[in-house]
Amino acid sequence: MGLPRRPGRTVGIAIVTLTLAACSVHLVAPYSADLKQKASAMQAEVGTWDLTMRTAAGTIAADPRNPEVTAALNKWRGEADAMLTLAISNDPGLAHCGQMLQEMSRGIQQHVPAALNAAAPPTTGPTSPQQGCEAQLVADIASGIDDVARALKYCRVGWVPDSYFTNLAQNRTAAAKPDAAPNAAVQREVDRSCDAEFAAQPQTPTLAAEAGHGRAVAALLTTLQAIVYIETRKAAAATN
Amino acid sequence: MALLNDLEAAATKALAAGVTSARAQGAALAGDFETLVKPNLDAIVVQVAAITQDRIDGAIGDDQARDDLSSQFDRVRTEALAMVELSELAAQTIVNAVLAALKSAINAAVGVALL
Repeated sequence: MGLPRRPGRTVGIAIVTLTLAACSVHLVAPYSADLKQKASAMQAEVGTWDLTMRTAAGTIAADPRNPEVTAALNKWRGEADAMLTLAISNDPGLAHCGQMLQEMSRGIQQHVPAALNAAAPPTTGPTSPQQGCEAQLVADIASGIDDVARALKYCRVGWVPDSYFTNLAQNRTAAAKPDAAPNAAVQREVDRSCDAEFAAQPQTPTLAAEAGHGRAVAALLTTLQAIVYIETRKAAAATN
Repeated sequence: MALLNDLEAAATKALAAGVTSARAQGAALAGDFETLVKPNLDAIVVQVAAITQDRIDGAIGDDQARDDLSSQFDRVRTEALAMVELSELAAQTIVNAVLAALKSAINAAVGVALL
């Protein structure tokens, strides 16, 4: 039901409405189907890779010098770069993620036992005030991959020389069988340290990112899960 | 002052829409915490306990235990980032619900779809 129209009144309302139109709020980046698809695909890929590594623990297949292992990590780094480009290009750059994160992390750290707190790195890393939290999350995929690389140090079969892996990179089918461990104790040590990185913990909640997977990929899977979750929520918010 | 009265009525409607949206977003955020954040925080506790046990059992050394713990603590930051992003999404949804209600009320006052 329209109100009686008067020129001055209509012009006044028009000014207010035009002001409102100019003030649409975009605190977060819009939903990106591409980002969600890429993060979800990488999540599946990392999970599959982790299961493969579990069976390979203590062998040359899990050694970080193995060309297939290097290739997997390099592929993920490339995918992480592509996702970061997407995230940054969509970021409205209005939210002060770093400041809000500091507030939240301070609250969390108060509940972490002092002994663990001393061993823990600060939970607030450098964040750009121009960068939204999701862009920061996507940037953190790279540190998740670094965590995997760091875990792989403990899968190194030290008795196999670098030259073996160099030959393997050049000709995977013709490479000779590597030497066995010098003794059973050495083999057992690398079996245990590598297995510790890829063994799943049965008490892990089923909704946790690394459910069914090892601790080596836990941080990376957590980041990817968060990105997929946020994008799904954004898609739902956009349709409501 | 008819214009002022109309705008006040529009603002009241918009605020009501904001309250409704805020309630829904509050429920959604609580759901996000239960679905996304809490399982992962619980999983971090499980991992920290397993790392400690592995160190006690001698399955891993000090360096590996330290690296593994550091990696687990990175996950706390990830969950904090996710929760902040979801909170901002909720705030955006609430503010946009208020703006949409305000625009709708003004359109009704004008009698045409001005926006």
